[in-house]
Amino acid sequence: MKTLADFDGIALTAPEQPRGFKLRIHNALPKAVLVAAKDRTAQLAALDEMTGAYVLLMPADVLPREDMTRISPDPVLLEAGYRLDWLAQNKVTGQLDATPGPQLWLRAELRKSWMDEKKGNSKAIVMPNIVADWAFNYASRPAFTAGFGYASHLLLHPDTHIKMMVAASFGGDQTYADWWHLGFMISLTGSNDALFEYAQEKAGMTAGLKMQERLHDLTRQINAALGLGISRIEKTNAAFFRTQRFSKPDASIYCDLIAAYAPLGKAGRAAADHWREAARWIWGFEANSPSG
Amino acid sequence: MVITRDLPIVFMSYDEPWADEYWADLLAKAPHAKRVHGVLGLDACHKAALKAGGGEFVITVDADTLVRPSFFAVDIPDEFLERGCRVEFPSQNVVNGQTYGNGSLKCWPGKMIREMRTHEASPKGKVSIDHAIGAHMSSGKASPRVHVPEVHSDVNPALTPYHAFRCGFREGVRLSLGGGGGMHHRVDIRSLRPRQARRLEACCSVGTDSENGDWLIYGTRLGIFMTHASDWDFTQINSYTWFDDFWNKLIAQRFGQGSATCRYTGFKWDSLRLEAENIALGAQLHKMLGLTVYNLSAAESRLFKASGPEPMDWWMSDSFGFMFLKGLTLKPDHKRARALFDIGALNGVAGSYNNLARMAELGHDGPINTDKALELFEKAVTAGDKFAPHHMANLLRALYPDDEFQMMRAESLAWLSAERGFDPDSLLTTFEVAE
Repeated sequence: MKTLADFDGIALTAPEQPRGFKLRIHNALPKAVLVAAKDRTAQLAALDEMTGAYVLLMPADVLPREDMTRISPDPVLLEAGYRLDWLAQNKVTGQLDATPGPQLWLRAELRKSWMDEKKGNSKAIVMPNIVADWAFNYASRPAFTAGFGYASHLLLHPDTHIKMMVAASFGGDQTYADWWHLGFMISLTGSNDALFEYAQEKAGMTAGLKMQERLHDLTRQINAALGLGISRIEKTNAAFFRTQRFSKPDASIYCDLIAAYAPLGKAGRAAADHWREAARWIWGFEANSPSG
Repeated sequence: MVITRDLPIVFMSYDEPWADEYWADLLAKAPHAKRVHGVLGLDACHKAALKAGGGEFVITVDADTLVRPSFFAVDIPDEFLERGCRVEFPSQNVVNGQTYGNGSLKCWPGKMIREMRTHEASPKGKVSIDHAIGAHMSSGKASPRVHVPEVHSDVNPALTPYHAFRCGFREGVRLSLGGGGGMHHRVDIRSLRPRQARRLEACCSVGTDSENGDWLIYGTRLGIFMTHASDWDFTQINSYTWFDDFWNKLIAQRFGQGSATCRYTGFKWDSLRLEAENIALGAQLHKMLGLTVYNLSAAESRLFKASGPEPMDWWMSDSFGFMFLKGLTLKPDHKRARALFDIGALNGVAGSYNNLARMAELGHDGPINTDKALELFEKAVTAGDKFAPHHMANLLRALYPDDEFQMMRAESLAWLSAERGFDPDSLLTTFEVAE
């Protein structure tokens, strides 16, 4: 059975990259080519040079873990036309929610999506395996924009206050965590231009504004405005939260997968049963119905 | 199937001042419930509970545990009851957010309770600080526990300072010894499995936002410290008389007469002194035992619990599969064993890859398939299983006796097993002697 390492792959690169990025991509995914995240022409050219039906897409700043190479995508889902996504873990907060993970596309679908985003494959399913790290925290700008983007995502969804508190509180012991927190909280204040805000903050810091004071003020402002209980965790305690939390994906990931499998014939029903049971051993009877 | 509401259920209290409230709560949900109160010794208490229940099975509820209504609609398969298994439902600790056996609801077969000799009743020369029911059954069979991954209860062991301290202390001792009874010696705390170590860390760190949470943390830290940094006899935790003395003569004296007051007992203590001692004890645990504990603020403790829930002990599916594979208490059933190992593999349980590999190697699930076995052993080895390298080495030796490369590979694998703690060929001992 083919593993993810055997597929053609495209790893998107940001202008700067996390340390060891190229080495880790090449070790884990020997067939992957590196293409700038902003260069659509080069991406399409790379895609056209490939021969396989499927292509593994690694978003920018996503580093594969060792076990990723052993993952075999389920043909039942692929034959049903699903794009398969896997989970990447946020290097600062440890969260698994809305992180850009590896994606296995039908090459033609990916091409279509790159030519016209409206025509992309909308049938995607997340597999409950944590196979990569979302390692944006190698410089202030990617950390700021990552935090900013995540907050913008959460603002579009209901019942996200716990995720907001976690994103603004966890991870203080990691490099550039302050910039993640800053970007995240500024986005919560209602701004929608990450790069403009980043430039403003950077200029402010250069002019003598203190990061910790800025974060403190923002925390107070957001807690009052949104009724959140953000309490930035002390650096020494942040490691505890990372090791203790998010070792397994949310029950909703399993529920959605089970719902996707259920109508896919005998093999699909068997897989649904297996995953239902797997979820039950982690989350108990909570893991029963699709998240809708 | 037997539905839990049709089984006898018994509330066990001893000296808990809130016990009447919790008993009333249970009675409102299960009017047929019975109660035993004031029975000294945990072994004796369970025997009394069986008697009070009046049936061949009994569900026990600890005095600090509130049962959720959902429990009374749970079905327990006959096969577990008929074959004498204890069926356990983990409980959620409201102080530190942990979900495990502390305060769990348990459905006991009467025969097991009658035959077990645990805690204060353990045979002379045998150590028991838990219901390590396999080790202390007169029949001497392996531990017949069935873990059900469903939470139907909430435990609050910190309703008074004394009870919080006592529970924390017992958990500190038990968890730092590997979580089970029957231990004859102290284990190196650094050799705890990662999940056990994480739980111990959490019990030592979370809960300052809760009433008496500092006492629970202090008890846990002190229990670990006294077990591993002194020659104190840890089996004392079976004796509530010893606890009474320890509390009254030492702990209460040390922290008493402050401004904090227990709402149940009126006991007064100095909360700042307790907090300072907790921090100092945490530093000692780190310095002397290499155990890292964290001094979380109340807000951090609240956030920890809010960012849960705690997943259950998902790797228990593997132990359950092993019971079916080997016919331990349950009727041997390779198909069900295989299904449970498949679940474990989906959840990344290293032991399940190893068990699937063994099944393929030995033909327990269809014809012998050594290629598949090697592939699965490889996964188990990479995932960190301690048995897999040994079995894989043996298989490589059997398959390729004349291949020098494979023999070298087998040798490295055997060493890897030994380093991970499974050394049936005494490689490490031989090496040390040679050195």
